[in-house]
Amino acid sequence: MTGTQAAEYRELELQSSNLLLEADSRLVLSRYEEAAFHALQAGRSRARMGELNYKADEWAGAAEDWLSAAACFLRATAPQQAQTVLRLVQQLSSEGKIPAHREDVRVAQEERTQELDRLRARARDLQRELDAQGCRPDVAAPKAIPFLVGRVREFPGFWPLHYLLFRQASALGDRALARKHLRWEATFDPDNANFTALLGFMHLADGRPDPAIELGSDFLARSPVSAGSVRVMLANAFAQEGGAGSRERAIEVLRPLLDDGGVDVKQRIAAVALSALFSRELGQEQEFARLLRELEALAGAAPSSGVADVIAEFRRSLPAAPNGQGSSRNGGTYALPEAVRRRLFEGARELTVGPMSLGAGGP
Amino acid sequence: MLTYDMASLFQHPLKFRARIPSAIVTFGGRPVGQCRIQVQRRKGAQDVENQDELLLSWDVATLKSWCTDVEEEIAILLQRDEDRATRTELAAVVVAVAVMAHIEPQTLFTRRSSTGTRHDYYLNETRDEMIEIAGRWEAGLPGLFEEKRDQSNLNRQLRKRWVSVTIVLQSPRNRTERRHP
Repeated sequence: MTGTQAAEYRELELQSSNLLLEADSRLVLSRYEEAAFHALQAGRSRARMGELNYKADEWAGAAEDWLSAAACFLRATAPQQAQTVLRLVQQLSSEGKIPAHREDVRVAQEERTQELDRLRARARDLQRELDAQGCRPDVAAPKAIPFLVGRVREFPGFWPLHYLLFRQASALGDRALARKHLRWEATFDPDNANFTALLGFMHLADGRPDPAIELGSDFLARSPVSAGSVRVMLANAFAQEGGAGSRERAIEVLRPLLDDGGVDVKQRIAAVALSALFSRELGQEQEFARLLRELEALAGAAPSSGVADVIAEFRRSLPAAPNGQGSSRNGGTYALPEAVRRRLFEGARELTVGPMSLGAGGP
Repeated sequence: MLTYDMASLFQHPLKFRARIPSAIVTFGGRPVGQCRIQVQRRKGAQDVENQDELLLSWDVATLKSWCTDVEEEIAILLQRDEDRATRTELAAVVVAVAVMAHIEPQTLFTRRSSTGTRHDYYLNETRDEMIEIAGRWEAGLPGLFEEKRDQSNLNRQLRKRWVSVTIVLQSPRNRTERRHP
């Protein structure tokens, strides 16, 4: 290792060790999600330590670190991350890079693999139980919440469980519980655009656009995907700030959804409707008219009657022609009535972060 | 007899201080207390086993100045019996740190391992010096120490210390003990 790499390794070694110590202390306090979160972070640090050893041709050390990372991910009930690092160990093993005398590495590899298999089997059992209990994201079921809460100890870092709890608690009006599990689902699946967007919308509902903007901007900076739901949330956040500059930033953040023909049609519809709103408020009449025509064209491609209804609502909310009627002048921009804006934003939100299937991205 | 005050845990770069509430509750849960603990240790795989007695002491009022949550966490732990085996192992780590402070004061715990067993640590920023720690109630988990030793012996190139902590001076508490002194 170079001097810089060795210093980074030592820092990660201490950091990950302390995260594991914290995970243990949270576990005995029944703070299961916090314990899983610390274990997940420790796993990420150990995975990076494995990379540093690998780059330095320290194969056994890399295997050891990756197996340690796998153990952390399994503690965090994060099967995909565990599988990723176990594959790296498997590769080292199949290339004959682990010394024969490291029987401990071979045994640990077998153990972690078996533990991963068991975790997956438990997750499948959980899914069957959820189905049997009628726990679905889109159907409120009062009995579901105690059942789901009772499974958190066994699956503390399992985002589908937190997602279901968020949806169920939201539907049944338990805002505190919904918020708690929304935070955990976004924490345990930080690369999920919908969860990031939902968390951003939660900040906006609290009247706090700044953390929503920070959250969305960070996500877009590290994510290669179009992340339509995050862009719609960000546009909403910019709009909450007010002023012409914020509307222009909102149009800018939505632009990739307008330019890319491969974008999900619901996200495209939401982006077109919001862009039309902002164009209208900025007095960009030609662009507003063009976006209205695009919205009409999208109505023909709507994937369901529900989506067609939302487009019709958008069309009713947006004035047919930019004649200024129903709007008020404010520092060079026209602001549509607040009730109209709210309907548009809520429609866009529902289109992009409505209930999703747990099959997508599940374990 | 070896003596150790839990406040010394705050001197370690590894956050052994996170173990303090578990240790205090395992050793009785009083706000100010001392506990005599039997410790078996071996300095290396081939060395003979030594027996020590450790007097572990603590004062929650003092600990609070470094760790504001300690009182609340002790109160939570006193109300629950779940994960007690884990809590005992966490307490055993505190005992091992205390014993090592006497018999090898220059030795540093530098990394928590987790490839094999869960409560083992690398020492002195090396990858071949380790300490294996086992904690149990007397007759509570027979064979645990031996099981951990077998796992560790899978890599015989390590220079290993052993610390086995047997908690014999306390009976396992039950949930209502504090309410009915």
